[in-house]
Amino acid sequence: MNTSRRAPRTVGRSRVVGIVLAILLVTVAAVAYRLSDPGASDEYGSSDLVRAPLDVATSYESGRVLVSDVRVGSEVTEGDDSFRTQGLFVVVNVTVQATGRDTVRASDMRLVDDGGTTYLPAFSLGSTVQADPGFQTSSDVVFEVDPARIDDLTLELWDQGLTYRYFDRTQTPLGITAANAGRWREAGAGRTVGVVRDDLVTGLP
Amino acid sequence: MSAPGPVVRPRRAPLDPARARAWLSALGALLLVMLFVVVELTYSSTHLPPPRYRPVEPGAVAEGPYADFRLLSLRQTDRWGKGYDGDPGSPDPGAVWVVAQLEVTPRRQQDYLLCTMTLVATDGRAWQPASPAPTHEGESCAPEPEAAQIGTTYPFVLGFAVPVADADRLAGLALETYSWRPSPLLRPPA
Repeated sequence: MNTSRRAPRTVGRSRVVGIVLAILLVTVAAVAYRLSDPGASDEYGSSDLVRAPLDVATSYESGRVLVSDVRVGSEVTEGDDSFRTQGLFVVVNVTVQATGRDTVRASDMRLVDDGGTTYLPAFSLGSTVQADPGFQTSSDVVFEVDPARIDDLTLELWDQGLTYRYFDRTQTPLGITAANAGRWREAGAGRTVGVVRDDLVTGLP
Repeated sequence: MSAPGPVVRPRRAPLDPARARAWLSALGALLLVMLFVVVELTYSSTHLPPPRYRPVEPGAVAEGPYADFRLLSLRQTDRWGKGYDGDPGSPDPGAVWVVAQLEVTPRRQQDYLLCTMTLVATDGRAWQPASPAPTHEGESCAPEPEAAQIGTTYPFVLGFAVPVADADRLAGLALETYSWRPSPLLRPPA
């Protein structure tokens, strides 16, 4: 008769500690990622989402941002260059003011409609607006959109930088609603809009 | 001739517990390092202290990494050099040119000589040299390193566009030394 008994199988303490540590690290990383994700602002209520009404200078980073002068057209001209679209060009003027000690920059922009359709700037160059301390910089930003999808178009801008960190993201409804979208489409049909994508820099008083 | 039998793969030896523990420890350490880097990057990008400066005596020499620098003068002007159209270079509306006359003396032979300077105001605002700058007299740094002589002093000029409101509150020119130490702050002779 075999009298030897197998010892009960146990889990080593170091393994438990390792698993708990791994879960803890993953949890911390996930929370940090979500907290630093501006897209999660609505769910988590963090304060990096800034409402910036049209034509109102709004605090942004260490300065201010002003979105104004919304125009629509089927053609844009810049100097001797002209560009036509089968859709609709939406042009907005973005002004960044560096009222503090640091440079203020809006390097990322997009338009979003109420259905979630996202439009990026039509021209890859010239969509970054930056102001050095004591200056303000203005520039037109051009978007090419589907005329059927412009209800509640909202401009979002932010500066993510090289590292994923906390940053302000502004939202500016452009005043194009479901009720008046037809009039915007009619206004843009066959119309040419002159744009100035060169930075207009001015020293702040 | 018989048909080939099923392929029998050699069974892998179970991982030695001590080795598994070592791998887990290494992985845990790596995760901790990554976590530290993420926290550090996040914190430093939001709480990085302003640059620190070490003022040198007015007109005195500051030592850069490879050369000595001296600020000869710092003057304001509404016109500096010439623009692309040949007209006098005008600053942006609401701004003024601040033109710095400097001299550099290479101390060591290097592949390139760093003449990176920042104009600093008393409230900590800082500006880089105008880029593109109007066409102007004087060099922007010493000659190319191959032509620069060790111990020879070369004049050069830097221009900055500064808001008029800040032009009378300038502290000096900060020399970029790419070091954790405070940057030397050059000041013009009294």
